[in-house]
Amino acid sequence: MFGNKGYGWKLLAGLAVVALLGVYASKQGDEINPSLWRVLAEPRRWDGTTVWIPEAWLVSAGAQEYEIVRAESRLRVKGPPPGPVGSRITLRAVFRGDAPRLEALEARVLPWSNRRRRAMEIVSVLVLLGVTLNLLRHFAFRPQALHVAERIGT
Amino acid sequence: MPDLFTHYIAARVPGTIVKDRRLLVLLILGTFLPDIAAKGMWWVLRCGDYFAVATHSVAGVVLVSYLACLFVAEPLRRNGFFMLTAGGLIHIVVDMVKDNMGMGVVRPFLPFSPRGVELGWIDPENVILMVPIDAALLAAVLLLERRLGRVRQ
Repeated sequence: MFGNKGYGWKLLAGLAVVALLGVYASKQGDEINPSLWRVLAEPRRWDGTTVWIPEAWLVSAGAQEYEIVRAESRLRVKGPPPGPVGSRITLRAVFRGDAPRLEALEARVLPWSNRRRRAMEIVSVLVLLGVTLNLLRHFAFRPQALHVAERIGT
Repeated sequence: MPDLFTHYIAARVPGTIVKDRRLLVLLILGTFLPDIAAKGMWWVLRCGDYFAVATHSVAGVVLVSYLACLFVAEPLRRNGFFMLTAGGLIHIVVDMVKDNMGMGVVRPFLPFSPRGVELGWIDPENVILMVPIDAALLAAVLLLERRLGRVRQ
């Protein structure tokens, strides 16, 4: 399994199994958390399904109802609005196909700015670069030095 | 995903018990692999939303680690595979702490169950706040290693 015999076949088989797992997950994922456009396109099929919307814009609000837009899909949500009109929100809700509308289970406002997320991404890229450079320093540029150090136990 | 610094620390701390630095590097690379594979599928291969979730499952981690270990020299490959897998599994556990309203971004039991699992301890928008804690942990690990005289120059 870990030898060099049939290396190419092992590589191909590994890639094929990863791809198949991805296709399977893709198929199953749509059943668990369908996209908003999908539930709107087939309201009867998805009636009663709980959906999680990671990001949407709150475009209008009443006391116990509000409207959200995600991509090009617009939908009414039953429940108190989590923030003022214009907020970026995330919510989990049950889809009702008869109206169609969502019944909010949980909703919260996302930070207006993506600054934190951007900072996180910059930190991540820096860490990845640092680890990669360290790896190259040890294994690509000075392999002999490393082997000598291992032999003498330093 | 939490930031890669948090993932790095999550693998680096238990990695102090790994004596072979080559294996330690593979453990750390293993903890990056699920995100590298997932982002590669989204950004490079332009796969659908759920195609890449398989990289955040136990089966996905084992498969991706096996693929990655094939690029390691043969004498190191078996141990390398276990280190990459251990790193990937640490990644999955760390990703479980995020609060995605109970939906979970980690689906550990694929292909047997596609349900997401999460502990919901931290808002994904706030994971950057982990960085100072991570830095303190890293400093503690480096100090400990120096004390134990296990840092090789």
